[in-house]
Amino acid sequence: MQKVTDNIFLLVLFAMLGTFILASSFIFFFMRYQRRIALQKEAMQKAELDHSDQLLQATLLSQEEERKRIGRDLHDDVGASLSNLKMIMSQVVETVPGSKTSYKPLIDNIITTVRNISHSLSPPGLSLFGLESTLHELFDNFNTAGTVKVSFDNELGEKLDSLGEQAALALYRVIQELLSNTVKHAQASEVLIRCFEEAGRHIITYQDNGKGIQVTGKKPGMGMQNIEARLRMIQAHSEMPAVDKGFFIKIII
Amino acid sequence: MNSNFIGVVVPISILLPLCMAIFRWRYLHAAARYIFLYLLVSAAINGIAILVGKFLHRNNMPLVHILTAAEVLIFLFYYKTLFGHAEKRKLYLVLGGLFILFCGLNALFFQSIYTYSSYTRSVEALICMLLALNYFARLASDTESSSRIIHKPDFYFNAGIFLYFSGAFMLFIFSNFIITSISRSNFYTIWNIHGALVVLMYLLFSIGFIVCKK
Repeated sequence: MQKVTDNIFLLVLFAMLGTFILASSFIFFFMRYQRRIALQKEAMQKAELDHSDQLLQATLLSQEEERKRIGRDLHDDVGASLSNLKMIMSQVVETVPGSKTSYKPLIDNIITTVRNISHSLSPPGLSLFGLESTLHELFDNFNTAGTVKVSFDNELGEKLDSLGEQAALALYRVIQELLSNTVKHAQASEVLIRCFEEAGRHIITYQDNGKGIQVTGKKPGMGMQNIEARLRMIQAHSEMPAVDKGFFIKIII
Repeated sequence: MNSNFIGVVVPISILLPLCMAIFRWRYLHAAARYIFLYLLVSAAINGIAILVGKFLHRNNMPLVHILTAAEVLIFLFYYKTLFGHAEKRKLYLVLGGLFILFCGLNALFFQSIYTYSSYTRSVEALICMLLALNYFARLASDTESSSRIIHKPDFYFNAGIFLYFSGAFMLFIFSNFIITSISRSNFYTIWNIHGALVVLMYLLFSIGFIVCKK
């Protein structure tokens, strides 16, 4: 029988290296496979998120359209009809002697209410007078109602009105939602809204002196989701840094 | 590389994962603590082995027999805790019991406690490789987990176990054979490669401890 002359040292060395290379290749390909799976998963999650975002944005847009239509109908049809009614009533009252009822304030009150509802559904001043003036009107309403004192400091000046109608409407709705949240939940007495420029970007900050909100890792509520969706629609985003007292949000446009 | 590498650098390198584990102790999950226990036992037995071998000039091979049994038991507890399936827990205990029995029989009838326990070391390597492969298989079929594998400490622990035992498997099989068949310098070369594998495993364990989160 032929004598085996193989070098045992080399054989063991090759065997060790061979099994080690096999094991390391396995781990390398396993990592690559897992990375691909993770990327696919991330892409799917992003697509799902984008889809739900698009759905939410479409809902908000159609909601806005519907509000506009109802507001217009209320203002043009119901408002006009009430004005006609007021005119007819004044003629009727004049022909019926002794029927001096207080119908006028009642009808005026209805007309005012209808106009307010119509304006809140779709602010007409936004396209006519711009965001600044419409916001002033909104804040006046809150200040008049006396529930909360709203202060507005606009350092942006006319730049605020040059944002475009869609951006103006989105920002208006966001501020409206924030004010509504403050009145409903914050138990605040004062709200300060500031508009200024920072690093070439328009900034709107909103701060109240209420009880604030607890920042948790949980999913935000419907109101905050709508705010985020509206801001994303106009390529803006928000930040909510922790503050000592009250609620603070910074909108970056 | 010379004998200083396996005699000094490799034993000292165990301090790195040990320190990492102590430093990140509060973030370590239950299974990761078994890896720490493995390192601790390994450091203690290797330390005693160095003392016995280098300073007392006595045969320290009995300690290798003890270390082999201890390692397998600790790794089995690690995987039992990691997989945590109640119905299969007995399997790990049975496997541990059988391995201890095998170690005892091997020491009594096949390989004296004063020789290198190549049979039990080889079986240990096989068991550990299979358990690590089982972990990778479970990881591949896990569609629920959202975190990436590079953020999973157990991926690093298992990569360390798998790479070390795969590389050292052939050495364990032929360890008693090569003592008499190759030159002293070649013998050191092979054991230095083994030392490098140990250091690689310790490095991966250290990364595993670093990525342990709350």
